[in-house]
Amino acid sequence: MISLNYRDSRPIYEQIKDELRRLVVTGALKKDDKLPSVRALATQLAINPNTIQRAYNELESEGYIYSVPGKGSFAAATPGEDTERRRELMKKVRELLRELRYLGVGPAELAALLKEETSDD
Amino acid sequence: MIEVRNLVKRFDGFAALDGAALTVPTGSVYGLVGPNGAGKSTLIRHVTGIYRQDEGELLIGGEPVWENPALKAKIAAIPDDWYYFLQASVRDMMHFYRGFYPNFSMERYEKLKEVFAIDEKRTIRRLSKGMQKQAAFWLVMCCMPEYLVLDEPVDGLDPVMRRQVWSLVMSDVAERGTTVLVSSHNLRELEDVCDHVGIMDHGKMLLERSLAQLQDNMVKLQVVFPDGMDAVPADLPVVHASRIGRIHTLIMRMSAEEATRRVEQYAPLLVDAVPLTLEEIFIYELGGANYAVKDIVL
Amino acid sequence: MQSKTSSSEPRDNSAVQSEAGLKKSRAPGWFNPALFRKNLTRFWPLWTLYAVIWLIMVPLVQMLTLTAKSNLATASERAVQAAETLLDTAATGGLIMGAAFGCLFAMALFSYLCSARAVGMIHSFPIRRDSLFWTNYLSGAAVFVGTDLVTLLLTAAIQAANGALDWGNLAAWFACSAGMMLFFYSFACFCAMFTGQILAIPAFYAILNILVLGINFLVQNLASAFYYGYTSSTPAWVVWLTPAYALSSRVSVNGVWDQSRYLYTRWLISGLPVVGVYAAAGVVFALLALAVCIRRRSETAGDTVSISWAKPIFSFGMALCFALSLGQGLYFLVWQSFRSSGDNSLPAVVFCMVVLGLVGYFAAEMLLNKSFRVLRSHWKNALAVTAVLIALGVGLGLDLTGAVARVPAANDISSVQMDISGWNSFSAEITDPALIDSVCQAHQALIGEKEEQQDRGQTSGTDYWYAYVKLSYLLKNGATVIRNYNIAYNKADLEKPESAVSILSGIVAAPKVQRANLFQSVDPKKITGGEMGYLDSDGSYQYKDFGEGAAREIYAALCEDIDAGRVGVSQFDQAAWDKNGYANNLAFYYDSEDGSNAGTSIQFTDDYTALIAALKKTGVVTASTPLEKQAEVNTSADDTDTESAVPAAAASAASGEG
Repeated sequence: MISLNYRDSRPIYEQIKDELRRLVVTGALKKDDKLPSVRALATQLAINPNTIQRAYNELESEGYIYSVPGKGSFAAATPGEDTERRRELMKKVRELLRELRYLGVGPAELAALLKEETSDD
Repeated sequence: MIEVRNLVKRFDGFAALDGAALTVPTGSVYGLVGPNGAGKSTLIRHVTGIYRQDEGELLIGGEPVWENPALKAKIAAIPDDWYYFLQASVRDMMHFYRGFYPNFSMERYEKLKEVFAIDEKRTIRRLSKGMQKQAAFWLVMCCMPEYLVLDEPVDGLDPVMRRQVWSLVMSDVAERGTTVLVSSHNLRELEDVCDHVGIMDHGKMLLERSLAQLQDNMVKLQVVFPDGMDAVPADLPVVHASRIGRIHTLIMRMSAEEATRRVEQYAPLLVDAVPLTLEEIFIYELGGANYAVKDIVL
Repeated sequence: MQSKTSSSEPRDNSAVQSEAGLKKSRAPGWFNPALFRKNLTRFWPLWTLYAVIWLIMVPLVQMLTLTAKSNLATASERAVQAAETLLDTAATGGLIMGAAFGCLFAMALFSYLCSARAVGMIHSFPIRRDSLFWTNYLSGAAVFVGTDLVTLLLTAAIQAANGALDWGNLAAWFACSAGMMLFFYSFACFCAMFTGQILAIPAFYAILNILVLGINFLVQNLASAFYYGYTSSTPAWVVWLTPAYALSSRVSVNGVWDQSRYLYTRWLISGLPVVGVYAAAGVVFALLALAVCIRRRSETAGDTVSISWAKPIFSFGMALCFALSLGQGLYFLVWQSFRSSGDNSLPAVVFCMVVLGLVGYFAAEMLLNKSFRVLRSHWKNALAVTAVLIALGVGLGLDLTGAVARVPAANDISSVQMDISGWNSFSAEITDPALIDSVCQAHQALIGEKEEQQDRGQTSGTDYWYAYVKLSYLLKNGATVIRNYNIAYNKADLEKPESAVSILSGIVAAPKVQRANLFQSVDPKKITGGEMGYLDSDGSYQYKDFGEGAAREIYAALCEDIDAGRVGVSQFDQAAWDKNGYANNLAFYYDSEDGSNAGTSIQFTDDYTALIAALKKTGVVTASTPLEKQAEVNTSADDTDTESAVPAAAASAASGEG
């Protein structure tokens, strides 16, 4: 389910978090879908389970997943109010927009993109 | 938990260990790093109960390991130069290990036979060095240890086998709470596998942190200051600063958020937090000290 | 940070731990069966070799001896012969097998201590050091005891099949084989604890086995060179501390001889208690080896000497051994090419000893440090070595033990064996207190004449007679004192009553002493005959036999002469012998204890009046078998050579007289 890029200089747990977030956000992991267990992921990826545990804990506090003691972790329906994450992402969007503007993408095209992404609400 | 306190060991007057201290929390994977001759192997031999220290304490699970067979039964080790009897096959060595380790699991032995794909009846001497290492792992994992001590364990293994071996070890850590002490030169690999790191030199521990602490407390920011600002503001606490053109790379000993917040006070054109590798963290952590850092990290 | 129990899956360590508790090994704590099995399988060539050699030497040889159909021996004779072979094998074979294989077994089983890799594995295993030691030690013990038992039973079966079953001899063989092996094996294990180099084990083992004997020999040799009269001896304690020597000399096989049937009826082995002593010593060495093993540090694998306090012993010991052996050797080699023996220079010896002692010391340090660069760091110890050797030399020179002047007090002496060798040899054991007193006086005189004798040794050209006198005192406390004096003397000395030779002459002439000399082992009842040598008409030497009757009569006459004090009077007076001695030898034959026939021969002078009378009376001496004086024989030989000169001499004599 998750693959890691070993050349990536980001810390492992960041990569895991990003991957999992991507899966939840894109809908590959639907609401209440069970995430792989820490043990299974550690074995599969050959990385430290404590690191994975930490990733899961942070994703939980960010609201992307929730865990049930004894049962495992599951994808959350709607993420909570993680303003920190929102701020981070908004900043990233800003940067991306700036770059797109630099490359000559006009406001109309950007508006169309926005409409497309928010249309299926 | 493995606790080493103030360990001193002298060989003919030379202090191989000079007040070394170490703490490996239960269920963690601790990476021991250091240049050649730092004393890593010496320390590991104390942990496995081969050497006896001249001064200091070494407790595993609260008990001293020296001449303690009950405790040693829970500890399995792979030294950098694994020993096997001249004419022995893996099967022969299995019988030998079984006679010493009460928890030896034949079930796991059979299971791992598939994994390692080594002929158990073949003389170990005739296997390649890499396969010998694999055989060592095979047998040691079957001892079902609570404490696993590995000295340069994956040297000589191909990438596939490395994955395989670490996968096994991580599975045990996750499932059985095995505590692992690994000594290695390969920081890149340790980064994936460890949750605690310690760096040794000249018989002493220089630095010992959990990976989380290390990663959370140092950040690399790439900053472009607004026009007019050429130098880094003096009151920004930077461990290290370099620049290429207008892009400054600042290393700061604080969390990414904290660092970004402080830099943003200067209204930079660009602020980007870039993650640091373990290598870089070590270099900058020890940068202040008088050590030949180049030797320590590969 | 790790143990968040609210996480996905609980990690329960307790399940693993209780599982471990249940799975406790069933083996006793002090012994490990897996290691034992491994030892047996790993070194099987060595065990097999040991077994094969014993199986050939004992059951196979027994079978061949017992079933050999030779036309000379009956079944019972074959049984006796087989018994002899078995006991000989026990005494000698047991010693050689024990000495050789004891070392090899120990080397095999403790070879792991010499490899850092092996130590790294074994010492990290869950086993205590004492269990490790016992398991290894008992592996070797099990092999040799097991092999010996199998050999024993097999041999018993073979013997029984041939009607020659002898549990006594079999038990004796087993006692020797296992007992000697127990000692040598344990001692070798003990040696193995002190080193981390596999080849050092047999080196230390061999050297320590002969060290005491060797040092004793070297020290005695040195003393003999510098102490007037001192001669080498091997005290009992030196023999005890040299196991191979003690066992070979004290364990012996003797036969019971049946004279009537002219064969051996039984064979017996003696000295088994000695084997017992060494076996017990073996147990002690095993315990000592355990004690050292437990304290030995793992990191000493590969070191020449593994125990720190043994390192200086090794260095200084090697220095001392080199000094005493090679140093002395160098001295004698060089010295003897320039000067005659007997004239020794203490400074030269000390110089040679210091040079070689330093060589030994630095060689030892090079071995210990595995480097050639030891001169700079060890010069202080080198000075100490030099100082000690010089002190030894000085001590030797000063004769601190008073060896030269030592004459035991007459009260302390139980007996003294006096041996005089030279042109008129003599050997007697003296037990009479008055005579012992005289011996002490003679000894004092000998010591007193030391300067005189040394002067006489330097001058050449003067005609001295020589006697070599050896005095071996056996003291009441069991100790021995042995002295050896080479005396140069002349007629004038014999006439001085206080000179050593005079006193010795007096002792030698005493009837008791003469009897002891001439008939040391002879029981007069056992004389069977004799012969007398004479010169026939052609001048060649012939022998005339006489029978038992004549022999006994002649013997009795000789005893009469002895008791009258006529015998031994001229022991030291060569002039008298030259003048009065007969060329005829007289020999007596008698039966000795072991059933063989022995003889003793004497020379006599015309003082032996009763003897001469008896010879004539019994018809041994006749006209054709005459008594002739040696002096006359010599003169007539000269005459025949210089025939032309005689007439001229006779003519001048005749003219002179006439």
